[in-house]
Amino acid sequence: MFDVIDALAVLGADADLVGVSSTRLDAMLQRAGADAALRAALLAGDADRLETLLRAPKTLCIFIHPAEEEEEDPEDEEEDEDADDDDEGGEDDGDDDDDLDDEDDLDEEDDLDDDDDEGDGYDEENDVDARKGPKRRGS
Amino acid sequence: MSGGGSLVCVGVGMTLGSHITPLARSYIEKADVVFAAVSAGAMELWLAKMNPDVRSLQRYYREGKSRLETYREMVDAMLAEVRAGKRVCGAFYGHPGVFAWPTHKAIELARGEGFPAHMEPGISAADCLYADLGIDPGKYGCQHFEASQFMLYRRRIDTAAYLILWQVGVAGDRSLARFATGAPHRGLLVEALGRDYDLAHEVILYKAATLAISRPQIVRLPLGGLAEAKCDMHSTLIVPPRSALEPDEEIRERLRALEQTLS
Repeated sequence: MFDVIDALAVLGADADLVGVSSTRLDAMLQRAGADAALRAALLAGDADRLETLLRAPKTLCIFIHPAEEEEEDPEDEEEDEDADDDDEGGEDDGDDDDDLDDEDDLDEEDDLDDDDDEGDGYDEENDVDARKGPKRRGS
Repeated sequence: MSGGGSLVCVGVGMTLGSHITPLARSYIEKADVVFAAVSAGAMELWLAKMNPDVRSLQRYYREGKSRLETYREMVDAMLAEVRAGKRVCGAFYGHPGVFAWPTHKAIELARGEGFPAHMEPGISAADCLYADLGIDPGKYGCQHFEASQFMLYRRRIDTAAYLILWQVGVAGDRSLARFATGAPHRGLLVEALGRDYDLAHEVILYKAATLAISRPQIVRLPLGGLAEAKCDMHSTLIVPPRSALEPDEEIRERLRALEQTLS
């Protein structure tokens, strides 16, 4: 069954499909089983129409940065400190064991030599560290 | 370390399928819960294919409600799951740390509570506009400001460099409660820019492509036409340089003297 999202992901990631002609794209979409309405929206590059057809979630707003920040209320700082105290003795759900398993899987299943040598000093130990702490590559 | 929770904020880039890094994808796939703040509904559907528990942060927006409150709720939502011991991934469009308040705040708070938290970079709207417009920020320099902040505070603008104003679609909104401002607000932005640029100076309204089927939108117009131009939440304003670089003869002379002492 034709999956539009998968198709969009493929179109976005395949260099051979960048700027593909409408004729070729239409043929590909027909072979993949896309219905006429979806094909029309895709060929027209009509993102709005496509999202309507997909019943995609509505995007109300994409701003995620304020022009001004309010000054923190001293009461909020006290609440933050209380929250720190409450976090002691947090729940252990076995994630640590899973982390070790992941590390073992990495050792056994992944070719470490191949993954290591990109010239940026990144290695499995750093991978574990990066998950566990704010480690920056190259530092 | 407190509990087993962790937080990583990743960027999925601007174009679905094109910009996500292998590492960002891996974090999304391996997270216990993903919080999504992306620029298109199709992107949410895309993320939902990578992880069974993707929660949209769109639910916290409401017109008339301060976006600062929205951002705090986003942070609270992410931190609640971190405190519950989960591997949390915040998946944001573009770069998660570029003109993005909730990600930095969430990481700051998580680390403050002893949880591992970090950010992975992504391809931002600026990166896309450099490519689409053929702009090298290194050629003349590049200044970036949030459009409303640019209006609210006096900045020293170097007109020999590029000037990029973000979130221009809501320029001048002090309430943080609007999803868009119109011609009157942008008119004041034009006046602010008019202190340094002629109204005939060409500026560019730019929107990156969010889907591979779309093209970036590039509209060139005189600064004087900005107020009435079509502008929305996806728009970014680029003001190209209007003057040549001015040599700093004092420093140049001191460099010459320095080179002589070193030779």
